[in-house]
Amino acid sequence: MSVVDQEINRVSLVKDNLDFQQLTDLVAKPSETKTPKWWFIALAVSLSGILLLKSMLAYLFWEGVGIWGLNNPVGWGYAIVNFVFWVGIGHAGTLISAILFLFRQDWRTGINRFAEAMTIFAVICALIFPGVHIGRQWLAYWLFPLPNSMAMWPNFRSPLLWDVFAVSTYFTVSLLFWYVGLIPDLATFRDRAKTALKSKIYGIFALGWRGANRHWQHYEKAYLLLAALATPLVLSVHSIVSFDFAVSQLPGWHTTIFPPYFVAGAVFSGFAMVVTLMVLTRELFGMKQVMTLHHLECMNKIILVTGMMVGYAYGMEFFMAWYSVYEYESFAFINRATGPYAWAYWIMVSCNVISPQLFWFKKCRTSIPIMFVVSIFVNIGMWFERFVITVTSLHRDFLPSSWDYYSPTWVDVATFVGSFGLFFTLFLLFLKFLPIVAIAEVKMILPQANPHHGDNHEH
Amino acid sequence: MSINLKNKDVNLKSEVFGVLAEFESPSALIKAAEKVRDQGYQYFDVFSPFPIHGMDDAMGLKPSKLPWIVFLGGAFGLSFGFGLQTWVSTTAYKLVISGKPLFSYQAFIPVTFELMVLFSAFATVFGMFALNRLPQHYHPLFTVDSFSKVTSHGFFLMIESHSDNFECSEVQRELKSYGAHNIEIVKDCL
Amino acid sequence: MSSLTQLKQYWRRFKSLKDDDVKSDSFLKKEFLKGAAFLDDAVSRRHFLKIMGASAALMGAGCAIRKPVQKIRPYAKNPEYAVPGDSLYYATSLAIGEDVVGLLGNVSEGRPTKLEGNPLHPLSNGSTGTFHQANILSLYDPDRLQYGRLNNNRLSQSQMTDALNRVYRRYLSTEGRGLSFLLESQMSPTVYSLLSKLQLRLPYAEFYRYDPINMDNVKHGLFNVAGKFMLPQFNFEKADVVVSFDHDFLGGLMNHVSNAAGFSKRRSPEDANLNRLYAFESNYSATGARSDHRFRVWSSQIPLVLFQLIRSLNSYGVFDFGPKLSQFNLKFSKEDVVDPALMNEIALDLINAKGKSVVTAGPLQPAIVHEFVYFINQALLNNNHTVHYYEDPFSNFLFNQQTSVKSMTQLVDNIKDHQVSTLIVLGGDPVFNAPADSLFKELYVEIDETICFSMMDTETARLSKLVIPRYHFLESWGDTKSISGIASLVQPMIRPMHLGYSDVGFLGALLDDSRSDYAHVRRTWRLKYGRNMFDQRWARWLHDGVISTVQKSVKLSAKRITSKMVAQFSDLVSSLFTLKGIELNFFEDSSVYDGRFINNGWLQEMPDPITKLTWDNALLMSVKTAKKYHLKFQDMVKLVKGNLSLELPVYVLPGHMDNSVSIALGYGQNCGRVGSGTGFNAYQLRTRSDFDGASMVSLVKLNRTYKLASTQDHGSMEGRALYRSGTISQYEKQPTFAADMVQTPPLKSLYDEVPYDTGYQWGMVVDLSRCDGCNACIISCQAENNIPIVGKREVLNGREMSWMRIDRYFEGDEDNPDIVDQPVSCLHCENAPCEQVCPVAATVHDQEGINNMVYNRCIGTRYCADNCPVKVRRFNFFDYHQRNPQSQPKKRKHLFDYVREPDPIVQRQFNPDVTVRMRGVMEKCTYCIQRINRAKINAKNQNRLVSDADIQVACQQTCSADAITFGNILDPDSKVSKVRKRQRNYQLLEQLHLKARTTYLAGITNPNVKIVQLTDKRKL
Repeated sequence: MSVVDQEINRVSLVKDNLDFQQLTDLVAKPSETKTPKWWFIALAVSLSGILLLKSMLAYLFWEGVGIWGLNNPVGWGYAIVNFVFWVGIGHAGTLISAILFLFRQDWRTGINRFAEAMTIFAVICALIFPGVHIGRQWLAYWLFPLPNSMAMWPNFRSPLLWDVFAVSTYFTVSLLFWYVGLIPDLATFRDRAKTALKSKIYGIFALGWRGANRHWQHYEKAYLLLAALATPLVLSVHSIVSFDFAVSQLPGWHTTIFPPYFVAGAVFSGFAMVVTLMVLTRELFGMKQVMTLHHLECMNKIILVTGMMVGYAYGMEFFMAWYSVYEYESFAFINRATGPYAWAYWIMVSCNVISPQLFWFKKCRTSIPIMFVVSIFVNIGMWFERFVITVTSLHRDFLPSSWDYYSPTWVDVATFVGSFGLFFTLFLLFLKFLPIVAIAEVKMILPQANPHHGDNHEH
Repeated sequence: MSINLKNKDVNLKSEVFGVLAEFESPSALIKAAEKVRDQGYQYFDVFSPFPIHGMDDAMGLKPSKLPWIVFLGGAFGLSFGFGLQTWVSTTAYKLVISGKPLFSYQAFIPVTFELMVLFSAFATVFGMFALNRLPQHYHPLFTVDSFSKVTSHGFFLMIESHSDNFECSEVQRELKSYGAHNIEIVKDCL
Repeated sequence: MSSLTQLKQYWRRFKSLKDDDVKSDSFLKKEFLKGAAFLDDAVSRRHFLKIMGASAALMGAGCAIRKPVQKIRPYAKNPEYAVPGDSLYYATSLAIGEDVVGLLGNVSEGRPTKLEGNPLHPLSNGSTGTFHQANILSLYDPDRLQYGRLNNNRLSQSQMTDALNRVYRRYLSTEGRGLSFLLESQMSPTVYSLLSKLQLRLPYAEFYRYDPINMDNVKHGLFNVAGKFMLPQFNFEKADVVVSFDHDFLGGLMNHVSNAAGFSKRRSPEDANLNRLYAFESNYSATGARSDHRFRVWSSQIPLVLFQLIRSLNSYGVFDFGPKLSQFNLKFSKEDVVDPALMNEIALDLINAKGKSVVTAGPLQPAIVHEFVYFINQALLNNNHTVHYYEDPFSNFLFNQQTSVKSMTQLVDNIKDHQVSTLIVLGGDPVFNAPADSLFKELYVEIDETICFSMMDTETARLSKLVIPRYHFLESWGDTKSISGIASLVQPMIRPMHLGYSDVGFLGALLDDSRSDYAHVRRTWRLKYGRNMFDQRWARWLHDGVISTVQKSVKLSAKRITSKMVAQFSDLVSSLFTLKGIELNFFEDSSVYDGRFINNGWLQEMPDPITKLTWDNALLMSVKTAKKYHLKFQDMVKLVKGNLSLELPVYVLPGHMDNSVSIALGYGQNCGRVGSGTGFNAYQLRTRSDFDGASMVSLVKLNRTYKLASTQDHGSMEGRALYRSGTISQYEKQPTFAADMVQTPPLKSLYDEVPYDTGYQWGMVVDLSRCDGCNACIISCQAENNIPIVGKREVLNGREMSWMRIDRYFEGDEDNPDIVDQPVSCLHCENAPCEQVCPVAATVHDQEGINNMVYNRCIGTRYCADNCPVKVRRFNFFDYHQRNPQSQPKKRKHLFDYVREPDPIVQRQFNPDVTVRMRGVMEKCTYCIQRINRAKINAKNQNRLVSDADIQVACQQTCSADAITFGNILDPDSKVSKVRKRQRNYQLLEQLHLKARTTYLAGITNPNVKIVQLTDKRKL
């Protein structure tokens, strides 16, 4: 299906023209060779993060959301901020796998597996928060339209319910997408397995894949269709997340620009996170030949573009606030930039709008340290964007009498930190036990994969 | 899987399942496939670590039926989603909310869309499994040691024994002439 | 009125217990035939109440925790008039200090759960104040003294009786020599009759009275004029012009209910011509907030201001008094306190309203001021028209003829020369609130025998040898007589929960009188009204709650000013110019009064009407003063006054007089689990010399801060049209000015909207012109709807739970801004933004346009609160009932149910008609849906439609200013539908197309045009 057009002369996406076997070996290496010490250390750290998260949630279930910093005007705080933050990160994977796939961006093959994995783990982290941020966590299942003896049904007019459907659908589809991509590579691992246990486990998940072309035919069709489905999905998910805010009445939330603005932001943060992780992985696992500098550069370009989109949105909000001649709206935004939370706003702006500008220069785009730092900045900035939207809009709304200031408690912070523990634990396990590069797909884009490869030489 | 089978006693009653031939490169494989197709063997298949462009035509495969299954899945998801919301809001759980009419379809669109996507995705994946008869943890090919290359760098072609005018030695000879460098007879051990 | 007949039977039944006076009554005998069914059954009222109380408490517990731990006990015999689930109402009355109101107790299953005003009581007219509303909680305060205490050993009831008898017998021999009584002001005829009996039997026993907050100055001022101990009562309804000299007649407790009722009748232009209020004060009071012209003056300079008024009146030839004006040899500093031009205008205004105006001075002003206020009113022909004087019915008792300070001083002196061997403290907490320099505390412990009769374990109680618990008035028999002479009965509604005595019972026991309280009270009134038809009368009194509503004011002939007065006044005024430093004023606190309500959580958490402070008092000072001393909100300062000092935090109050500071009294006690450690004890600075009136202090800034929990951080309206108000002339020019203030685009919905045009459609209108921000509605709502208190820390976190709040905004310059109050609770928007965002449909509309909150469906996403434009939704971040300091360990554990539960005693207060919300659930105003439904059921049974007469929501019912109207907006006869049509009517945030059911009537002020012009000129 997808193929390198020889006509367009592109940078080779795999360095030192590896042949099929070398490529397989390269990708299989981490799971077959002895695990490096740093991995265990990292895992230990991440696991303690999970422990922290667990204990914070236990405390939360026991005491109630009062242990967080929320108050009367500010009903949503860290939990929702973290939710949107993680969901946002979870957009890069599907975007790379689906949209770039449809656009025939072959460079995606080097990184899509990796990005999809990150997506799924990010969405898992995200899914924690809506579940636990409610007052009576043990009733969270009431959000789903489950037939029950009380004949109660959810309210389908609520954006929060749309959210439940959007995010859970997104998670399911991403998972399927990821798994379908994994099947041939799992088969590879199965066939390379040294121990009976390994080959059994990989074998079970490989579903007895044997690379038959009659399978490949349906498989590729399926992959294409999934990509076609995931593309509108990935756009819809963050749009619907943005509805949580946009459909409300609150000045600063009630904005039509939110859906595109949120999607751009999501891609922005997602790509930043991919870069952060990729820079590390390719170093630590010697994947430089597959995850080339060219890949990173392409990513940085997208970061630059989406960064500008987000910046545009920031500006547009202020314009609309002024243009609407609606005092409450104008106040909300002036308050953002100059009010008690101005610090958060300016952190957001400098991280999201200013720092990516470096990527105008190829030097910065291709310098590992710079892109690493910028990507971290973007991650921070995007977290603050959600903080600014959620908290600053709430803390000063219509009636000055109810204005108040929100500050998180240590529990808020610890829970957020803990969610990173979960994320990195899953990620480390993925790095160790699964093919971090889509072997079959990368092979497809090798020159010798082209049936006419031989022919060229004959001419 | 294949490992277990290797350990099995090969002397038990087993019959020829097909003839497996290994080829050098995708291009070699694709040429061989074309010839085999022209020979009129209907039960044959090629095996490669990745899909080879043009192989479907070379083998003369009809286009996949998967899109239709997905369409059905999507159609179901859409109508189910919209139906559920309409039924709940207008019949099962009538509530006046924010002064909106019971049937406020404008608000039902997002969930409808999500469910459509969800069910299409299910249809895609499980439809693909069905068409490919997966999972299929046993296959005679797994008894062939050299076949384990197939997921890394091996390119194979197999003609199955229940094709018309299948004659084991004849088939082997033909395959050799197509440039196969290593030909094995696959036995079904069950 | 079905409960009327019930009551009759109810009370007749009681007589089956009664002894002497019943037998003689032949008339009754045949009456009894009707009630024969239970004539001679053994279930006495008390006993019945006991069972009822117990079992009902358990029902209450049932509401409080999801799994009641205790066993339910059924009625042995079901009293036929007590329909389970229906509450019975009994009339009673309550005296706090010298303020008396009539009350109706709502008794559900044998436990009083709510107090309402008694419509038949002229001083209440069906409404109440905050203290009356909150009193129900004090009844169920688990920190109350529950048994007698003799040197820290528990005493049983009989032991207490013996102890008291012994004291009595011991002093019989000495005719009471060495025995002293210290009382707080008493308004009960029966108590006084027993006291006089005591005086008879123990002629040498000494009686003293001490009230930290009192009307002594007024009484003595009027005594100097008229030779009678009198108190004025104002007929604000008839007053066109009111001038208040430092008198917070709308904020203070004394007659607040009737004052607010009368005053507010003249504040809505549709009902009557607006009155005009001028206020002179240093602290910003509720009265100042309602005034049309507020003048900031030192309260110590009030006499000077008064003199200015006299001068102005005199210049118009109105105020002519015996001596010539020149006889005032006042050493005036050149400039006056108030601009004379303005004072002339005020004088003119008063003169134009001759006989229809009121001039009044605050109780903390010296007696001489009240004398001259009297003469001003006389000159303006107000006396006997808008100002009525009533003689204190108990002023024949010597201890009532002395000021508290004087009385206290005598007591202290007597203790010093060891003439007091036994001191009986009859109520009050003198050890805590006696003047700092009286050294009462130190001397008290030296007395051989100290007996304290108190409800709470006060500081006095802790230092006393013998402590006798005092019944709550809802547990005891008694009676009250207001200053104006309205007599009413106090009847118990629940069996006493702890050991102890009622006031009557205490004196009875002391007198070794075995008669029951009931007998004592009956006796008092039988002696007054005679035996004839007494039982019928009695039943009627009990039912109505009032014995006589006759208020006989003293008709006074014109009095002359003596030169002695002139001299006094001159000296006083002259002395003002020697004052140096910062002026310190004490004022009665809106939450704890003189400190007696310190352990009442509702009141503690009730935001002060002006400062919005909860759980603390603070040092109030103006912006300028704060700047001058480089102080800001929450800075700790040290107030130094001679050798006395007090450290407390600063609250910067715009509009407070410069170089003047004020502290609320009553805080800083160690009393009860709720009250301990709240606020700062202002009594530490209060001395006898300047017991009332101002004193000079110095300020020292400490570099510490103290967190103050205010429920409203932001005082500015940010130029938003939330509270809309205009002057009367604006209103007359453009009656719909309020609605026109905000231009909205045509409000269209994407959906076709629900019409709400059939059946009942409930709605509320709040008249901002009437509301004086007294908070009674807040407490009433809290009592009605089982709203928990959250504690200071949670208030600091911004999590207060009260469904109703009063938004307080400052307008104008920060030196003397206006204060406006806007009560806000759920607006019940027809297009409620909260509903559509709830994912589980836990908040939905019903057919009657009420925005319902379904607690047991709520999962607590808080999305509704985020989307509520007025932020009236309250979230249970914790289970606050269980976090209450008075909660106790749970007997039975349950997941997500923690380990604590409310004290069983507290549980009895819960309204059984209202769910007690658990943690993680959103809640908000329900328009008292339980009351609505009860009204609908009753109406349906009588198959008619609900009318205004059937339903009053809690906040509306208690509002003495009648600012809240509620009812069916579709019913053309309902008051609310009429009021809604008034042109002042406007919607809050109508641009959001909320279609709110609660609307507001714009506030209308009535400034004096001439004064406005003059002040404007000054500004230029």
